[in-house]
Amino acid sequence: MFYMYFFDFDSFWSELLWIMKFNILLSLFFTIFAIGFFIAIIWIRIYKNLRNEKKKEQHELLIEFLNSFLFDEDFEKEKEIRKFKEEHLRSSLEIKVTIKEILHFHENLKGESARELEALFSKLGLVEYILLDLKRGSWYTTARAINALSELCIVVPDHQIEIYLNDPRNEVRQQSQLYSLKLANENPLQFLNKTVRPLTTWQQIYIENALKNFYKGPPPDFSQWLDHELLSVVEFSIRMIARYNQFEHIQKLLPFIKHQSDIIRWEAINSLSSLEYTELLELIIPDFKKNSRLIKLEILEAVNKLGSHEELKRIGDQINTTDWELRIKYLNIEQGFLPDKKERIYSQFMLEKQFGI
Amino acid sequence: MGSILNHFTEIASWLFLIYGSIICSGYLFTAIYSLIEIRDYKRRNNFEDDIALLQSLNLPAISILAPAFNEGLNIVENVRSLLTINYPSFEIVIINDGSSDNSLELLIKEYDLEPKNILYHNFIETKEIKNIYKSTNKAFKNLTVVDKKNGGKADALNTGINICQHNVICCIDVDCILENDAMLKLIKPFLNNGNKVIASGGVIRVANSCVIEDGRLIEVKLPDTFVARVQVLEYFRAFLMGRMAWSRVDRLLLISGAFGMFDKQIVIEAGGYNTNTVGEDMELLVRMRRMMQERGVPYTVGFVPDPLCWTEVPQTWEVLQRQRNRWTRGTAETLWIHRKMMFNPKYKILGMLSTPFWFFFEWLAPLIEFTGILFFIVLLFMNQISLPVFLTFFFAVYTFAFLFSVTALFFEEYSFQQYKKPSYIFKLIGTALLEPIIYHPVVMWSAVMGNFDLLRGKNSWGVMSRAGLSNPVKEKKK
Repeated sequence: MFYMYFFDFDSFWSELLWIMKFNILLSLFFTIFAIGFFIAIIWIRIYKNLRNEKKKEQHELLIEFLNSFLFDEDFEKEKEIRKFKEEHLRSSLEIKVTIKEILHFHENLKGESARELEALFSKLGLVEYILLDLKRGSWYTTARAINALSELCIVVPDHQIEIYLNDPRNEVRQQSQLYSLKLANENPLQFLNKTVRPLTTWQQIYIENALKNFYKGPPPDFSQWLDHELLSVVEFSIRMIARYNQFEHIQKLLPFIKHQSDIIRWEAINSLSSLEYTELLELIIPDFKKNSRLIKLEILEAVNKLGSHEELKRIGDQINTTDWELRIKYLNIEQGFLPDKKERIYSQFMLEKQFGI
Repeated sequence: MGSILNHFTEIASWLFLIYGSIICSGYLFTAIYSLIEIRDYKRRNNFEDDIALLQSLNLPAISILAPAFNEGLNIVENVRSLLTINYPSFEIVIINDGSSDNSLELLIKEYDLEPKNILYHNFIETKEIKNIYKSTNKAFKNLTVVDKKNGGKADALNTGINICQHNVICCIDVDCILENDAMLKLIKPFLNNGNKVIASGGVIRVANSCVIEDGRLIEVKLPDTFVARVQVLEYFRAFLMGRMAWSRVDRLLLISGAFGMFDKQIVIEAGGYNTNTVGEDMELLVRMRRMMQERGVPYTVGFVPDPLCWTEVPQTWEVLQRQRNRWTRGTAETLWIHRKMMFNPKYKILGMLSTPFWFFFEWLAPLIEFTGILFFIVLLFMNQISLPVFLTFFFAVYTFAFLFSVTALFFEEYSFQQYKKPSYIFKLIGTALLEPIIYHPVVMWSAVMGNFDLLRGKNSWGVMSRAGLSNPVKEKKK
């Protein structure tokens, strides 16, 4: 009653203009949202801190556990694994931290220890968790699961991974490619036969890295993908033929220096010059003028690697005087071939530039 | 007469209200889009292995272009920091834009530079180059210093573009502090895309008061001054909310001049940086986009939300006003130069959404706000203001502004959480509470003056003095 005497809300509210009511309601709405976000910020902060604490604890526990598991001969493995699973693998966070930590350990171990870690991963029931992740349906859990499977070399039926080779998401495709590669005993790039989506340069970098650092078998015959439908796969194969010094495929590369795609032509010229195929110059110099700027630059680079000043001079006449990029590239190479005339070439160029020749 | 005035007042009030509501809705949409994009970005980048990248021969070589004008105080350290970037193949081109201090002498001495006759062509017209220097020390073989006549930042960058060797260029401010993996992250959009990527930009963060050692960020701290602290919030809003949202729909119109990567050939074909505008960074990207759109070539502009580059922001009101004045002129000039794109369906989303958004909500907003304040003063003098209505309206606007900043802070907490100390949260909340009444009017006024200066034909940057970043090692030596 006392309150009502001083402030009658109903009559106060009904006497307000509609615009004032609207403003007050908006202010209330914004304030509630702002407070909500503020609480969310504090909650995220506390949640992340607690999570980090928990991660740290789990991390320390795991380091002790993994060190004992791997290096302590008196460690009762079966009993301790059971104990760890019951006591420290109860929450999703504990499981995730454990997976991450085992992956991290695995990265730095080789041979017997790595195999033991893979066995431990299975005994802790983490494979089932990963397989659940794989089936969960969202692209990022799928990618994460395939990543863990490939890192720990856990074999699952082929069809379970193959379906992701042409997934719409780059990340899922990349992880499934790396899985297929890392777990292969031979022909690690077999997945390329089933690939129908272009490989990005990013994916090519990771495939090459996995080939060099994870795959232990004999290098694949890269020429088998030279007639692949995807230009990116052809491009990758041409490059790999050069990187792996597969000189026996030089003849197969030759048609690609006349390919209709600039990218493929560029890659073919670049790879053949890396393979030091000196006959290449006779094939590309006469056609210099017919090419695009990108290919012309690459032809000049090939002459720089494989040729002489005489061969370079054959190109000189084919360069338009206003094509400055080509002229500069040409003169830079010429300076390399004729170091004693370096200054003269420079002065001549500056003079021509000055008078617009 | 009174009735006409009443009608006019009512119509004007409604127009202001409608405009305000549209802006608020725009902010709401950008917030939602940004949240989705940040979440996706974090999920996308769970499995990266930098070592694989660093060992790769497939990463394109990058030319890092850094214009320098009177940077003698820190230039030697800044260059040293650039030289230690994690990237397999890069060159650094420092363009001394006619400095009147001893920047060049310091560089020559520290890096054993000597003049070299290097062949180059002015693909883009620039001021005269006096000399090009290369180091005699093999450790600095990827360093080139160009000494040229003063022509401004855009001209210096164009000179760098003419001189540099590689096809991907990264334009940065020489005093920026880059994260070690900044280049690896910024190049990713170029390599992981089906379309032609013409540029990619990163998030800029405020370095004031942070601990910097040998050109590397050691500890993130909240700036001591209010002016710099508000800009932390502003940068959250601009990068984590605004640009992330535009990047989601691939219609970003601005890559910050302090840190952006470009396809050199496309830049040259577009004509390089425009030396006649003070907003050369925005103008270049708009021109590149326009050119690609007119050619009908599918293309993309990438954006990386990781904090990759830290820069010093104005610490004083005076410098801040000069900066915002310039930004306004730059925006207006860019929009004017490319006015043909506005509401032009030929340019699709760019013409129908991006440029109108910039016109109405970036350039016009401060002018409308200023007109609103004038309108309010006139009504006040005419005794047409109802104080209770005004107060409720003011409170609604104020709470919205606060909500907007708190949302941005939430995005930061959710994504990268760079400000670790709990006290920073409360300081930032306090800053957000004060911003609408202390900081915002100054920024609005600077924008109004920017337009006024533009009409007067002012075309200079104004003196952008810096206080310098905190470097405990250097301070100890002193």
